[in-house]
Amino acid sequence: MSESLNNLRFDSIDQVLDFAVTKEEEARDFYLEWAQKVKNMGIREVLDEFAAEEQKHKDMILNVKAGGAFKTKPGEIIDLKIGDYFVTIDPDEKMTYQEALQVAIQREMGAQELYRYLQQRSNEATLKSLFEKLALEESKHKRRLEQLFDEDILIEN
Amino acid sequence: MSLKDILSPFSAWKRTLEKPYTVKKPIEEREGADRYRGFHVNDIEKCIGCGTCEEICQNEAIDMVPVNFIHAGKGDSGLRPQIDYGRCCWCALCVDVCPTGSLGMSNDYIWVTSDPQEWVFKPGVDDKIWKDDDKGYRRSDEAWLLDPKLTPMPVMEPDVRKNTFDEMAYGYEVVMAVEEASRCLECGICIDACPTHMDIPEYIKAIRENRLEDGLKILYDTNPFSESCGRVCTAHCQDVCALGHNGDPIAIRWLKRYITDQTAEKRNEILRIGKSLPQKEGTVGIIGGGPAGLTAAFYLRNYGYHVVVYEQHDKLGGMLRYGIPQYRLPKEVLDREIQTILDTGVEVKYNTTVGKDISLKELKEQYDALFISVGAQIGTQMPIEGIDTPGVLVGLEFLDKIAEGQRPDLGERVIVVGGGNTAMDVCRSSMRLGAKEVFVYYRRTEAEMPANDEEIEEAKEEGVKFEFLTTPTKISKQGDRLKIECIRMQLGEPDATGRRRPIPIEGSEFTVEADTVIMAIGQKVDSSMAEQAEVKATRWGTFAVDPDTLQTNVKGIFAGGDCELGPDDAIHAIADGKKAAYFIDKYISKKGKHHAETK
Repeated sequence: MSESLNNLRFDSIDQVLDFAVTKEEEARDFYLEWAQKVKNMGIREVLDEFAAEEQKHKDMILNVKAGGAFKTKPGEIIDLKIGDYFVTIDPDEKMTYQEALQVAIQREMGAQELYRYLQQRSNEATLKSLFEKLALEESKHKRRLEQLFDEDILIEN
Repeated sequence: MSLKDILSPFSAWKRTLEKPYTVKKPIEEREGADRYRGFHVNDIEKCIGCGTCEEICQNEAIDMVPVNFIHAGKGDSGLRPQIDYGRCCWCALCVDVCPTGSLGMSNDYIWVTSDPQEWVFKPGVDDKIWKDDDKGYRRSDEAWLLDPKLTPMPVMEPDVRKNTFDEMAYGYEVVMAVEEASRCLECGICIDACPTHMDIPEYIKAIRENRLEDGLKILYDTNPFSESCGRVCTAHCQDVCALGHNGDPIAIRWLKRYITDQTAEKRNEILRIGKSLPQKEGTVGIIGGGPAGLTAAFYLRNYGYHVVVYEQHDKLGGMLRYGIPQYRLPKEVLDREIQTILDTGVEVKYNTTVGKDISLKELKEQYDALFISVGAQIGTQMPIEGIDTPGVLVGLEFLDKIAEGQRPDLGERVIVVGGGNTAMDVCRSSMRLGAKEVFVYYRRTEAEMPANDEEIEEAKEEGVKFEFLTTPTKISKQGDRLKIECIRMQLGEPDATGRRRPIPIEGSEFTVEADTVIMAIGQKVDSSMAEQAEVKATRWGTFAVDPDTLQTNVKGIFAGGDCELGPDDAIHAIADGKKAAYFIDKYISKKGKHHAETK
C-alpha cells in the first residue's frame, strides 16, 4: 500500500465513515466525469448508472452514520472472482461496455483491498469490525458488476 | 285367435289400480372397461392446438376453438379441440393420431342432460366429472398413426470428414425427401416459430406432390437464402414441430435443401429473376453484404428501388462466408445463391468500409434510405494476462482466414475457449487442419452450452474433447509452446435471479500446454460509424432501433441483423432484412408522397 495510505489514521467510527463517504463521492465523480468524455451514448448511460450506484452507496454509509445498520451479512455474498484474473486497464473515451465493466470491477476490488488493509492495520476492535463491514459492502458491489459481466459479456463462456 | 289374444285387452285393465313406477336411470350403473372409449379428456398443458384431431375426424365432429385463458405462443396455436357429441362416433382416431398424446378418452359413458348444447364441449377446458379420469382409452406407441422416426440424412463418416473441408452432408435423394415430407401434419405451428415465417407446410406439400418449382417460389417469398439455410439454419421450426413432442421433428432444414438442390440450375428462370421488376423512384444504400443486407437488397429490388451494397471484404456473404466453414456451407453454394440476388440488379461496392473509406453522413446525403447490416464481426477477448501472446488467436479472425482459403498450421494440440456455435466451428476446423488433439474449455456446464446440440454431437464424433467448468486464467510462452494456467469451477447456489453461476474452486489451479489457443467466447459489433450521423448505439455496441420498424433515431436510417439484435443466427438476420425492406419501402413512399404534396 502507498505511503499516503500508511499515513492514514482513524480514531473514531465517524472518521472512518467520513472517509468511506469521501471514497464513494470520488467514485461517483469519476464515473460522472467519464460519462461526459465518452462519445457512445449507450456507454454514457452505463457510466451514469454506475455513478448513481455510488451515490446509493454513499447514502447507505450516511444512513449508518446516522445510526442505521449495514444490511449485508457475512457469508451472504459469493465472490465470482471474475475480476481477480483481469489485467488492469485504464478508462478511455472510446471504451466499450466490457471495458467500462472491467474498470468498475477494478475500482471495487481496489476499494475492497483498501478496507481489508485498513482492517488488518487497525488495532481498535470497533474500527476493525467497521472496516470489515465496509469491505463486505464493496464485495457486494463487485459481485453485482461481475454478475453483469457474466451475463452480458461472457455469453458464450 | 288364441284364448290369450282374446283375454289380453282385459288383463291390461289391472294396471289402472297400480301406482306409476318411474326408473330415473334406465340402466344400472356399471364402470366401463379400463380401455373403454368413453368421453374425451385432454391435457390442455400438453395439447399444442395443432388441429390434427380436427383433420382426421371422419365425422367433422371436432373444431379447434380459442380458449380465453390459453394464449398462442411459440409452439402453441392457442386453440383447443371442441367435440360435438351429436356427430362423434367414438372411433378414437383423434386419440390415435394426437402428436403429443394429450387427447384421450375416459371410461365414463353416462351423461344425462336436458340441454343438448352441452354435448358440444371442450375436453380438459369444460369442467366434467370425468376430467381427471386415469382409466379409459389412451394412445399407445403401437397404435400411433404417425411415423415418429425421421429419414436420416446421409453424412460423411466422422473419421473421414474430420480430415476434410468437403461438405459433410450429402443431401436427400428423391425417395428420402418424399418419405420425410409425408410425415408432415400441415399443422402450421412451425410457421410462427420461424423468424421470417416461411410457409413450411406449403413447401413440404410441394415436395410430396413433386411441384419443386412451386416449392422454390414459396421459399423465396420469405427467404432468398433458402439454400444456405437448408444447410445451416438453427431451425426454430424443428424445435416446435408437433411430431417432435413424442418422436423426431420433421427434418425441415433438409427438405428446404432438397428443393434448392434440385432446382439450383434453373433457379433464376423459375423465379424470373430480373424480369418485369417494377420501377420506383428511390435509392437505398445497404451497409454490409451479409444475410441481413443482401436479403434487404433482394426485396428492395423487387419493390423496384435502386440498391447499392457497401461491403468491406472483396466478397459478399458476411458471417455465412467468413464465419461458417466450408464443410457446413460450401462456398460455391453460397456464391450461386448470392449471384441470384445480384442478378436482380443489385449494385455492389467492394472493399469499402463505411465509417473509414466513406462516412455514414455522406451516405445519408446520397441515398433516400440506408440500411445498416454490418453484423457482429469482432471477437470478444478475455481480459486475462497473456491474451496477446503469439499463438493465441481470436476465433472469428481464425474462421475468416479459413474462409479465404488459408490453412494455418496450428500444431498438434489446440485449446478452444468458449461454448457457442463459433467455438464448435473453430474446434472442428482445427481438427481438419491436422491437430492431433483439440480441446474445448467451457466455463459452465454442458447443459448451458449455447451451441446447437447437433454441432456439439458432431464435434464429439470427430474426436474433439470437452472440459466443462474450466477456464484459463493466464497464458504465457514456454519455449515453442503456450503455457495455459487454468482453474476448475463449480456451480454456486442459485442467486436472486435463480441462476447458479460458476465459481472458482480454491486450490484447483492446473497448468496445461498447447500449441495454439483460440478464443471463441463471444462477438461484438463495431458501431463506431454511428456517431458520424448521430445514430444512437446501445451499451452493447448495437444500433438502437424501433423494434417494430427497425428505424434508428435518425429518419431514413434503419439497422438490422446481428448489429441490431446482437450476435444471433442467420435466419434472424434474414427476417430483419425482409422486415427492413418493407419498412424502408413504406418510408420512401411516404416521403415521396410528402414531397409531391408540398410542391
